[in-house]
Amino acid sequence: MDTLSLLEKALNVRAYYHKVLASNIANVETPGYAEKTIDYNAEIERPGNDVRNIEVKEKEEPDGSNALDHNTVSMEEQMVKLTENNMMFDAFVQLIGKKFSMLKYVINEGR
Amino acid sequence: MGILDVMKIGASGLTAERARMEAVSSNLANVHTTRTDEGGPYRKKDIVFIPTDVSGDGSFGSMLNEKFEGVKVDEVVESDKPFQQTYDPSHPDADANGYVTYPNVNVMEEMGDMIAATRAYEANVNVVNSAKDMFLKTLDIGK
Repeated sequence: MDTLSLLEKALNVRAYYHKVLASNIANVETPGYAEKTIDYNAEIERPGNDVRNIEVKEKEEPDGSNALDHNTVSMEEQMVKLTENNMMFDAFVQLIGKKFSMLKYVINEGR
Repeated sequence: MGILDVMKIGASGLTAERARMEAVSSNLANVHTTRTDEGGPYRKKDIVFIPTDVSGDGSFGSMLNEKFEGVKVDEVVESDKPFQQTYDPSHPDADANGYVTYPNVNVMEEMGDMIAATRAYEANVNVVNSAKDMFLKTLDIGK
């Protein structure tokens, strides 16, 4: 797999993960809502580039504070994951930019 | 130990301090609660923390990092400090001598705990933000 299509896939999965995290944060007060997540590494290794094939998992066991209404979302964890996702997305965008600037360099015969 | 693990540890600290804040709010709300399902007045709730492994994938990298741990709530315990006795014969829950047993919650102590939890939460937010800034700085290498 060449660099560009790998990065394209990584960006697709990151963008999808952003949606998952956003819906978790939106449902932080919804009784009975189960936190959704995806396995990023497994999705990258899966062949094909279709976000509809991404497997979304649910966290069933609440880990403490929201346990009363069976909501399994931890707001702080989701915010940190969202930030992390954002950072990685930025990094990949920058990598794509570098790749293109190298191509441009070659096209301009090194000028 | 990547910068992303630092952020995970920060997140565990945030969740733990939030739980502590919830205990404080419960204690303050019930400072005059004289009846509970178990009988007797409300008992002050205390949060007990233990360290926890945040990476949790069992990889070689995580074995190297086992010295750095996040935090989680181990249990919520009920304080067995003595209840406060106040003379108030008109209170429905007063005993034969006119004394009411109020919860073992000390408002000053709870306020102090609340401030400590708030500051610890802020510190963890700073950890997460600093880690983020460090990561973004690495993207500037070679610019």
